[in-house]
Amino acid sequence: MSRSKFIFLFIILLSSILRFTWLDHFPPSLYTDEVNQGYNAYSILLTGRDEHGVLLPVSLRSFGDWKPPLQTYLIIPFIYIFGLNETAVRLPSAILGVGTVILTYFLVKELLKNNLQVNKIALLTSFLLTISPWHILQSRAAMLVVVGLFFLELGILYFIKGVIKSRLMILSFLSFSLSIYSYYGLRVITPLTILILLITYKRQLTNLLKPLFLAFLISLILLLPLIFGFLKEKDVVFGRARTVSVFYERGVKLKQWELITQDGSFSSTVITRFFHNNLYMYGRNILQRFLSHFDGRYLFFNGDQAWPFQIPNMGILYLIESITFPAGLYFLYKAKFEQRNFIMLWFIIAIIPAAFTFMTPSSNRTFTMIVPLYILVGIGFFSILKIVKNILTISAILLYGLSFYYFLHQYIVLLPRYHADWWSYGWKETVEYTRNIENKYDNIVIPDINGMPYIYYLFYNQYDPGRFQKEAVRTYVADRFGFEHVEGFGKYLFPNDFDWDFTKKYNLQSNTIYVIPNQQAAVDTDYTKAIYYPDGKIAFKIFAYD
Amino acid sequence: MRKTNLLFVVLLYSFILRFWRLGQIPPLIDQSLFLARLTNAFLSLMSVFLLYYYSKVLFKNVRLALLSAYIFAIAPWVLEQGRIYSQANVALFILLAFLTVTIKLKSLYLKLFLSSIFYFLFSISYPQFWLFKMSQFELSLNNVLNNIFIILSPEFFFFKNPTFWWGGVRDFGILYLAWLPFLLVGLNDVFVIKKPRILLWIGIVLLISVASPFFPESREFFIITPFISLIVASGIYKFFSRNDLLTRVLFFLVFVFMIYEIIQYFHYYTIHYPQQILGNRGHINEPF
Repeated sequence: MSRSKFIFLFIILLSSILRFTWLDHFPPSLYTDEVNQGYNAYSILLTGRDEHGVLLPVSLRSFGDWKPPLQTYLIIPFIYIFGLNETAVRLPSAILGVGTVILTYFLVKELLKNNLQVNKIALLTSFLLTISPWHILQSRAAMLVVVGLFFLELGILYFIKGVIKSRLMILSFLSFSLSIYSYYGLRVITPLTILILLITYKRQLTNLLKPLFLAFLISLILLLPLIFGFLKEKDVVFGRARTVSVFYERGVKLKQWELITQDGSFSSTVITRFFHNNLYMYGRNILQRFLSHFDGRYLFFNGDQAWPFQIPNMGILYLIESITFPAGLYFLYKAKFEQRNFIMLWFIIAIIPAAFTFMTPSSNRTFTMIVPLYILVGIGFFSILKIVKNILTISAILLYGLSFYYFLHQYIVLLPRYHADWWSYGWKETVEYTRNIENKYDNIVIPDINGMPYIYYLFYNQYDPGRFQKEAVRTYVADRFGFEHVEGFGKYLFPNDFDWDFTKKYNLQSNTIYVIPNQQAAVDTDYTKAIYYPDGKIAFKIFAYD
Repeated sequence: MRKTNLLFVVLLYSFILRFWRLGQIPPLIDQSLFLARLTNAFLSLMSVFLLYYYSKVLFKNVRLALLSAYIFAIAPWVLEQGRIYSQANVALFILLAFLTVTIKLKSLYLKLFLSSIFYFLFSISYPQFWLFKMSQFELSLNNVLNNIFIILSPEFFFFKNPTFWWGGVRDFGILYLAWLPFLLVGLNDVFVIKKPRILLWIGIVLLISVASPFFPESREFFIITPFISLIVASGIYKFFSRNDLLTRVLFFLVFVFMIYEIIQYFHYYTIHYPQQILGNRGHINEPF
């Protein structure tokens, strides 16, 4: 076996170890969206329908949002084999995470193939992706973006190979279609990527019009269910994108109003419109959000501030990558790598959908930029290693080693112990406890806060999906944040706007269990059972009244 | 138009931008400080000329020098600091004077002598400079790194300048957003043509600025503005000297946006900024 093959196998092995081991423990609990996908996969497996009773859905209705369905369908065989549990839910992500590392190696070899050192750069890039905190975090949870990225990258790889072997073009467009079924952002990113590929390879494609047309036609047929879904329900295509967009948030409008008010008598309507028009105000805001993804504090220091995409006290990249990433940008053009413009354009378009939302910077929505970004990091690191000698090389490798150790410590020790709440910890333990005593009681009341408790009760009780589809009490009326609620099923009740203090004083029911998050019941000491976070703080208090 | 005429136009333009309604914008709280503001505006105007001369010698290119001076003259932060009494602005003038005088000097002794004069003048003109104020040097690596990322962030460069919170133009960065492509191209150019002097000064000012215990409300980083102007000008020059259609179209679009953004800034500076400053009257306890 050649040295290069051996290294590649080592990377695959390391990547698998980092992504497959203890999937049920790290991250410490299933996040609401993961549970939702897991239960819907279970429901489709047993009944052919999702929790809402829709037969083989092309878009999954989820807490008032619509989720692309591919990951849910990918979870089904794992639930069939391993049962409804954390590992089964997270396995598709982990597998495709490893798949992305492998694809990245082959993709780099294609993209930089005019470079003599391409194999070394490809190995280095896929290795750096293997130990990337951002990629590990996403691959170890059932996140839609991991599936999306895999199929997007596969589509790109087949496209580039398809330029020579035209029959691969069909596989390319098949992958692109699947990516569209994976994640909302890709409904913008994938078409733009295809457009860039078509422009990049326009000369070679002139002889491939027939296979291209055929591939396009097949992908169009594959997308027909989504198109029909859109005709029935508009939100199917872009989900809650409207409610998270910059145009929905009031910040820009308020600023505009403030400036127009300050203009007052100084100017006419025409001048006010010239200065404080929507195009400039929103354009500037969108550009600001776009560029916020290049902020060093976000990339290398504090990371994503949104739960659960945070790793305590570190960025989404290693600190040392604050040197290798800009170096990669510089050397990409200096060394005139082939397809450098494609790499840069892919990197840029991966951020575009996120720039139109008001929660920025976002590591989840921009996840597809991780591959071009690590290609740059790989090029940068490789070029630096080529320039510096001996001690500096060892220092650079040591720094990476230390950074990786620090990440593992934050992820394996700190995150589960002190930040388990980021991953909605406590529901599994709560459900298990109430399950053991629920036969003695008529009702179980769980306030509908802290995510969507009903889905945890369905998941951890492995509640019969057919029965739930009949029993579920839901109004399909969205609250002010756009969430739809389930009010109850069986003996479980999930009251919205529940006030524990009021209930305790005036409305306590007999033969009832109350599951109260600790922030509502902090002063109560007469609880039957407390559910603890790993750091010893109380997550829930359970009150059982005969 | 001849190059000397162009220089005159740049200086005239700078003069108007610095002296027009100097007593009213931003509102002058104490009329007796007008003279200080006037001196400061004059030094800012002189800085434009000094930068022209310095870049002419550095790049050996008059057009690029004119462009650098123009970019420096209209940069949002330079304009804001040039129209108030600002120690950082005076110190910047002294630094530019020092660089201009020493750029052609060969004698090390003379350079050392001039450096000591520069240090003396710098220290009396900028007593608020944190290295002169602090008796103890406290440096936390975490803070320094965080400050580096703040200073090098797109937000600071193009959207929000928090260095002078109660008295500064907060809703604009230190540069116009339209200058972003020129800054990137210029940076690459600075690396390629290997002008280590520019990078060295940027590095020194950056390190001093991020180590300030008063960061982000400190103005040491203001001293970087002429060097950034050189880079942006270098980017524009590079852009303009390319002949392909795509670059020309891109340049035209960015140029139109730049004009619009400069007009936006002037509107903001003359209409909105004075109103925002008035709300902070209570904080103004030093020459402003």
